[in-house]
Amino acid sequence: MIAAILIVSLLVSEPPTDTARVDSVGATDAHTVTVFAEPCAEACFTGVPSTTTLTVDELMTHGNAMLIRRAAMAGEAMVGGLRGGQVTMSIDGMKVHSACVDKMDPATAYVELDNLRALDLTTGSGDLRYGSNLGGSLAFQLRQPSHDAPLAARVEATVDANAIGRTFKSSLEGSADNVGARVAYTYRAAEDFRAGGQRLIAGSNFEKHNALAAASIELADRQTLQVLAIYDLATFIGYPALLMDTRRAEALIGGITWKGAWSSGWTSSVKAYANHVDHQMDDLSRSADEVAARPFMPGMYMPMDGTSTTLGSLAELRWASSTSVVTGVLDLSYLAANATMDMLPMDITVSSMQMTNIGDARVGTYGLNVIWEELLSGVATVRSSVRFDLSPRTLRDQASREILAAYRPNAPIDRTMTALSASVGLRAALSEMNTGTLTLSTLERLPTHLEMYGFWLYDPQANMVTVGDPGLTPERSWGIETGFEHRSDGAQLLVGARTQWISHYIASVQIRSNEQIPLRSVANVGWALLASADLSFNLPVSDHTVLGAMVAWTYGQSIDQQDPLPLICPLTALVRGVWTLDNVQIEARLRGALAQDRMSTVLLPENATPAWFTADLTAVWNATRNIVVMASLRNLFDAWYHEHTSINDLASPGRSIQLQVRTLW
Amino acid sequence: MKHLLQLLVAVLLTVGCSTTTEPTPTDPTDELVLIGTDTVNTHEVSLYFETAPHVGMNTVLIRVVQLPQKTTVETVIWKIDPTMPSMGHGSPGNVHPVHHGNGWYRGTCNFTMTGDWDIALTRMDHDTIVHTTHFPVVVK
Repeated sequence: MIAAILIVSLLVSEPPTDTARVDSVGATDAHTVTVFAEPCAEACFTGVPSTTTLTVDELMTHGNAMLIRRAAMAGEAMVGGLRGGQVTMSIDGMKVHSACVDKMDPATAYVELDNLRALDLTTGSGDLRYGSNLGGSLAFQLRQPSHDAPLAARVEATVDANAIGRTFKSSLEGSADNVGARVAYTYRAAEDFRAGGQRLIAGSNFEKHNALAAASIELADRQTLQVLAIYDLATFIGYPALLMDTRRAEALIGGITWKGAWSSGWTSSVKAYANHVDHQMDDLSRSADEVAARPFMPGMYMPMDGTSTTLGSLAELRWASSTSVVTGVLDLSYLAANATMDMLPMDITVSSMQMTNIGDARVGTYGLNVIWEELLSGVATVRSSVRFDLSPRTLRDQASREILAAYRPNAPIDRTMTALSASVGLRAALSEMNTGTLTLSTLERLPTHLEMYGFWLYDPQANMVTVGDPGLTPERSWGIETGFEHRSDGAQLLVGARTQWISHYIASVQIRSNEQIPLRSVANVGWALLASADLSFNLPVSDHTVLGAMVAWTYGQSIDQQDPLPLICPLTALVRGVWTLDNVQIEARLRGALAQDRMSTVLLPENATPAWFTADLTAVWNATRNIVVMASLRNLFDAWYHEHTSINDLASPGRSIQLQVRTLW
Repeated sequence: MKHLLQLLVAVLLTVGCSTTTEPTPTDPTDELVLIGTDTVNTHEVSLYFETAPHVGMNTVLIRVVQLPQKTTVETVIWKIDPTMPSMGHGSPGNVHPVHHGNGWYRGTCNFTMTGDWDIALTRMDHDTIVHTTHFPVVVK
C-alpha cells in the first residue's frame, strides 16, 4: 500500500506529466464549471489556492507559515520560528533575492495567486533542493501552460470595502500544435486600510502591477521546453510600520526550462534563469513634522536604492525503480547586490550625505543535493538527503571593504564558505490508516549577504542600525522530527513535532550605545533551541460539510544569551468549516492566537502581544458555468489586533466586505 | 666681496630652510590636500590629506613646526577622532598619527559616509589632553 503510494506519487511528480496533469485542472475544458474546481471543499491546507483565498499572503497563513508584516501586503514568511536566510524561498526553483535591505520586497511579492499552481510549504528538513536552510522551505510552483488547452480567457475583479481595495486579474491561455502559452496580468491597489474599531492606518496604501508570460513547447516525445517571464512593478507601497515607503520596485524574472523523460525511469530537467530587482524607497510621503520629530535619524529625508541581480541554473536528474528513487539536484546561483542611502537634511546649512549599505556584494552558491528514497519493505521507506554547498563571496566596492574592515579588523572579507547538510528519515505504516515518520537531521545554513556585508541596516523593531560581520560562521542545527498521519474515509489527521539545537545562531547584538544612533552588529551568539509542533485535520462531517483545523506552536530560546528568540509566534490556530451544496459554497473561518509574553529583550527587543481572534465568512456562488461570484466578510467582529510578528505592532485590517466576480470563457 | 657675502648668505638660507622646514626628499605639500592650519602657543599644526577626503580609509598627515623659527617638532602624541555632528556618530578603525620623519606625522582617518565631518585632533601629554583642534571636512 505504502509502496504503491510512494511510486505513484513519484510518477505523478515526474516533470512532463506533472505539468500537464495539474494544469489541466484549470484549462482542460473551458466550458464547464470544473475550471473553477480548485479544492474548495478541502478545509485542510494543501498548498493549492482555494476559491476563497484572495492573496498569496493569505495562502501562506493557511499553511503553518507565519508572516512578518510591515505593510498591507508582501508579508515575509516564517516557518517554525525560522526566518530570513534560515528559510529557502523559491519561485519555480529560482532564487529571487530581495533588493531592499529593509526586507520590504520579499520574493512572495512577485507571485500572484492566479499564476500559482501550488505552494510547497515544508516545515522540517525535508526540502533542500533549492538551497541550504535550517528546516523551512517555501517553493512556489507556477502554473504552466498546457499543450492541448483550448483558448480560454479569465477575468476577475475584486473590491474590498475596507481600504477601497481594487484587484483586477486577467489571463489568456491557449495552445496550437505543440505549443501552449499563457499570459496574465494583475493589478492591485488599495487606499489606507482601517484596523479594528475602524482606526485608520495612515500610509498603508499601495499600488502594483504584475505581468506574466509563459510558454511550453513540446519538443519531442516526453521532452518539453518551458519559458517564463514575470514583470512586477510596484508604483507605491506604504509601510506604516517603517520609516520609509516603497516609491518604486521593479522586478524582472525570467527562466527557461528543458524537461525530459527517458526510458527505465530516468527523468531530467535543466533550468537557466536570471532576475533583477530594483527597489527604491524614501520617506518623501511622510509629513515634515514626522520626519523632524522621529526618534531615529530625525530631521532628514533618506531615499534608498537597492538592486539585486541573480543568475542561476538548476539541473535535476531522477531515477526511479520499483523500490528506489534517487534524485540529484545541482543548484547554482550567483548574486550581485548593491544598496545606497542618501541623507538629505531639512537644515539646508548641513551638507547632504550618502552611504553605501551594500557595496557590490557578490555571492556564488553552488550546491548539490542528492536524495535517495528506498522502499525497505511493504510498510517502511527510508529517505536520505545530503546537500553540499560551496560559496565564494566577496565585497567589491573598495570603500565598503575598508569601512567594514574597520568594524571587523580580523574578519576576512573574501571568503569561500561551505555548508554540509544531511537528513535521514523513516516512514512506516503503523496500520492500514496510520503512518509514522521519524527524521534525524543536521543542517548547515550559510549567512546571507546582508548578514555578512550589510552596513548600517536599519532594524525598525529595535530602532537601531546593524553592521554585518564578514567573519560569521554558518549556523548548524541538530534536529529530530516526528510525525503521525491518519487517513480514513476522507478524514485526515497530521501531527508533527520538531526540536532542533542550533549552534552559531546568527542574530544582532548591541556594540555601541553611547552615540546618537545605537549600533548593533550581526554575530554568532552561541546555541539556540527551537521547538515547534503542529496539528491539522480535515474531517468530512456530512456529504456537504467539511471541518478542518490547523494548530501551530513554536518555542525558541537563545541558550547562551538567555533570551527568548524574537518573533516567535504563540500558539496559533485556524479553524475552517466548508459547506458545499450544488453551486454554492460557504466557508466559515476562525483564526486566532494566544498572548505572547515571552519576549526577546536582548537579541531583538519586542513587545508582548495580547491574544486575538478573528472570524471570516465567505460565500462562493457558481452563478453560471462562466461566472462565479464571491462575497466575503472578513474580521466579522471588527477586532483590533496585531500578530506577534507584526513589526512595530502594526495592526491587522478590521472588518471588511469583499466582493469578487470571476468570469471565464 | 659684498656680492660674495650676499651670495653666501643666500645659499646658507636656502640650505638652512630646506633642512629645517621642508620635508624630505622634496616638499610633498604640493600634492597634499591642506585641510587647515591652527596655531597653538608656539606650535603651528597643519592637517593634510594624501588625497581629497573620500569615503573609506584616508591617509592623514600632520605637520608641526615650532614658531617663529619653524623648526620641526617630532615628539607630539596625537589622537584623531572624526565625528559627524549632524548624525551624532564617529567611525571605527582610525589610526592615531605617529611621527613619520622630519616633523611629519602619519595616521588614518575613516569616513563611513559622505557629508560634513569634524576631525578632532588632540595633542596629548601622556594621558592628559593638552589641546584639541577641530578641523571641518566635507567628504564627497
